[in-house]
Parts: sequence; structure tokens; C-alpha cells
Amino acid sequence: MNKISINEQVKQIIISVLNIAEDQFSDELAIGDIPEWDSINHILLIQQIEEDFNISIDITDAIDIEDVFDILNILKKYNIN
Amino acid sequence: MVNSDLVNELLQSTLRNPEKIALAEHDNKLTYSELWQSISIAAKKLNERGVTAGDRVLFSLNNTAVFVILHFAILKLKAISVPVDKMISETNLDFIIKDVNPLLIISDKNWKKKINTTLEKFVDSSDLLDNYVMDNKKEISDYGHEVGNNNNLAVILFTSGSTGSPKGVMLSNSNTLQTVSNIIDFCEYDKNCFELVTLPLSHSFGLGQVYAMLFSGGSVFLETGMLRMKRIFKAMDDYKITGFPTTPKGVDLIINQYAEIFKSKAQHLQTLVVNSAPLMPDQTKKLQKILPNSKIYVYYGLTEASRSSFACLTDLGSDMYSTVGLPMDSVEIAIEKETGEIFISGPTVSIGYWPNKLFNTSHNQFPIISTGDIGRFDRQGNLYITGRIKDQINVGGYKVDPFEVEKVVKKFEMIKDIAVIGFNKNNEEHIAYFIVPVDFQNFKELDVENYCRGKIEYYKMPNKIIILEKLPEGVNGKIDRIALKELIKDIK
Repeated sequence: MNKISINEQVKQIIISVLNIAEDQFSDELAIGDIPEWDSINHILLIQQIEEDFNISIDITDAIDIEDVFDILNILKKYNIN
Repeated sequence: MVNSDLVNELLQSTLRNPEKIALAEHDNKLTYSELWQSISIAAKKLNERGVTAGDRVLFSLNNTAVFVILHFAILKLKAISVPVDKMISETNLDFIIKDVNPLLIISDKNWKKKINTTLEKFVDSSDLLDNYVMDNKKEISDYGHEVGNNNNLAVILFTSGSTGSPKGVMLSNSNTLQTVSNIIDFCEYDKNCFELVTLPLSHSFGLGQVYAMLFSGGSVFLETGMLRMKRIFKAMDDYKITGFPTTPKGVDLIINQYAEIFKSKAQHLQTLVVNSAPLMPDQTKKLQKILPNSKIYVYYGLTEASRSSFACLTDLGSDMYSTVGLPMDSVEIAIEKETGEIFISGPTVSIGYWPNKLFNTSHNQFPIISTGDIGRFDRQGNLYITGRIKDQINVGGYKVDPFEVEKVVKKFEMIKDIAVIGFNKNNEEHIAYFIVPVDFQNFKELDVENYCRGKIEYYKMPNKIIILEKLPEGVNGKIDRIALKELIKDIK
């Protein structure tokens, strides 16, 4: 699985879970930047990431996730690259 | 009460504890003397832009030290502070700007695009409040304050208004001081307290908690919402947080997502005040189990009559988890016999809605308001909220309180959330249950009906069940029942 594909997958997951338009997404997007990325959707997002990449994210790692960059870093940590 | 005002109370705390942390954020902290100096400098800058006594200044900021500085700077000039929620709709913002006619509108650059008119009044908060230089040689007394008439209007807080346009609740210094005094006494706050406030400061719950901390000499860590949990947990460690006011939604997050880690960080947590929506007994039980050494408080109040009753659920015990407690000192709560509607009167009650819709006064000469809530007292005088008059559904002459039905049905383990709404069909009122199931695939409407049978009267059973992924919420975090009523119009 190449890097571009992982980034694109994460982008599509975020767009789908947050139910936003493609032009609302950016690589710098973070929790709280848009109303759709609230605390409830944040939990759903992490759950979808776990499901789609078949991983179980430890709570201490999960609380580190605040933006797109953090999601990609966590996937690297869990050997998804 | 000695003549004082909100700014003077902060000044007195500053004089008592100048070097103590007053405010902290994830990347900054201010002592009381630094906060006082910042407020005084900000007041000077506002004055240079023409702000004087009686002017309205509208602003919208996240939970930051800048919010607190600006709010008190406006009050220091005896101008009127009008904080509005960052998530406010353009329509409501337009309305509020026309209603209040502020001299200045202050926020960050990104928020500016919400303003459709009066752009010339807009001031970027960073232009106003960044890059000022603190003068370490200045004493607190160099930035004095003269107490004004504490009955003067200090703050206008707009309620989101479930119907129609927002209403500007007028709060004087004396309303607020009495309310804050009640909070401090009931929760036994003192200078050793350090609360972590994630609640929006543009609403009376969050703002009231900040006042309570600052006026009792305690400290506040500010964070916007429960979004960045890493920061929240770090603050709980770094500052040994003693208080965490939150909403039932926040309680759900703690219980369902962060129980173990929150418990491990909450070693110093003494108080959790929960409000903005009813806290279910089941939520209280689960929260108390996670935090056995913390006291859980709830209160009943509106923006118009904040903190009218208070209860320490931990002290009262699980049999009384549904109560919102006894009326606070000097507050009178009465229930109208015929309708069950709750009325509140006392020095904590607002004088009315901006600009001049004053509330009637009661026998004690204080304003009295009809709350629109329905309730009852138990024999000990503890208040229980049983519903909203306008949400009542009239099913063939039987009055149904949606809140009562929701409380029962929510105990069904297959249901994550529910809202009960009345709808009109063929000139008759019917009942719809909007349900968020725990397991969408295995959810069956018949299971809900079977669960309810025998637990609620037949006329409270649903005529329609609609499944949703999430219940719509208003800006204040409460269920947006108007949105649900609109939704049901579209469903055949």
C-alpha cells in the first residue's frame, strides 16, 4: 500500500465520517476547525480509522489525535504504510 | 450586600493573591496581577476607540485568557459586555447586531465573514489585544477602579431561543454577584480551587464558573470544548485540577470513551457541576463509580435566573438523583397549581430582555419570571423538573411530557439516545420517537414497543419511530426539537 493511497484513504474517511464537502478538507484540518469535527464525530472518526485499517488504537494514542497529520502519524506507528 | 461590582470583586481577589495563577491555557498563564494589568491596558485601548459607560461591545472569542481580559475590560469602563457564541448562525448574529447596536464588534479575522452589515465596527481582537507590553514596575493600585452603581446593566447574554429570535437577557452587576455568591457558598469554593472550564464562556454556565473561581481567589484553566483531550489531561496533571464543570454530553464522553484515563487524572478532582441539560440518574451512577471521591452537583437555572436551585447528588444519594435541589438563598421558586409551571423570583433574576422588556416584580419587589418548565416539589422542598410546557403533547386530551417519556425509554439498553416529539396529523396530535439505536443492524421497532408496554401509559406510546444516526443539537447543546419537528413534516 503506497503513501499516496493511505493519505487518500484517510481523506475519504474524514470526508465521509464528518459528512463534509471535499473542498472543506485540507491537510491542516484539525478538531474544532469546523463544526462537523466535534467531540462526537471525533470518536466516530477514530472508530472508522480502526475499522478500515484493521487496527485497535490504544486510548493513550487516541488522545494524541487532533488533526490529519496526527492520524497519519498514528497509522505509521501502527505499521500502516 | 456591600456595593460592589464584577470588576471590583476581581480587584479584591487580585489584592489578596497578586502572584497566584488566575488564568491558564495550554501555552500561557497569567497571575492575578498580570490579569489585572492586562484588563487595564485593554480598557485603555477600548477607550481610545471611543468606548465609554453604557456603550455595548459585542465580541466572540474562544475560551481564552483574551476572552476574560476583554470581558472585564469592557466592564471596567462601565460599558456593557455582549459576548456571543462563536457558532452563532449568520441570521441570529444579524439580528443581535441590529438589536444591540454595538459600538464595536470584536473577534478574530475568520469570524468577520459572518457579519453581513456594519463591517466598519469590526475590530480584529489580535490588533486590539496582542503585543501589549506589561510594565513590571506598575503596581496594582496604578490601575484603579471606581465601583459604579451595581444595579446598572453590565452584561447582555443572548439565549438561543427555541422559537423565534434570540432574546438578550439583561444582567446587572448585582444579579450576577448574588448568583456567584450562591455558587461559591454551595460548592464551597475557595482559593485552593483550580477549575478546568471547557464550557463556552458566552453562556451563563461557563462564565459563572469563571466568576466563581476568580472571586474566590481560585484559578481557571481555559480550553474550548472537550475536543483536545490531550491538553485537558495534561492540565489535570499539571495543575491538579479540583473542578470540572460539564454538560451531560461531557459526562457521556467521560463515561463511554475516557473512563479509565479520566479516573487516573482525577486524583484531585473534588467537584463536578453538571448542567445545560438534565443529567440522567444512570449517568450520575456511572460517573460516581468512576469518581468515587468527587462530589457531583447539578443545578436548575436559566440565563434569566441562573443557579436558582442546587443539589449535591453525591450527598443526597441515588434515590434522589433526579432532583435539582433546594432553592438557593434569597431565591423564591413557586409552582403554579393548574399548569405546574415553575416561577422564579429573587435578586439573582434578570431585570428583563434587551432593550426594555422588563419582567414583572413579585411581592418581594424582585423580578419574577415564568420559566416555561414544569416541576414539582417533594416533601423536603427539593425541586424536580418534569418537562416543558411548550413541548407538552396533547394526545386526545391527555398531556404528555416528552421529557418524562424519554427518561423511561432511554433506560432500554438498545437505545443510545431518544427524543419524543409531537406532530399533527389529520388535526390530531401524535407522538414520534426519534431514536439513535446502539446497534443499527439489529434494531427493531417492535422491541421498543415491547419494552415500553407497561412502563408508560398507552397514549404515550409512539405512533411513529424514526431512526437517526445522531439527534440534532442547538448551539447550547440541547436537542434541537424545532429541527425534529421540521424533519417529521417531510416524513410521510
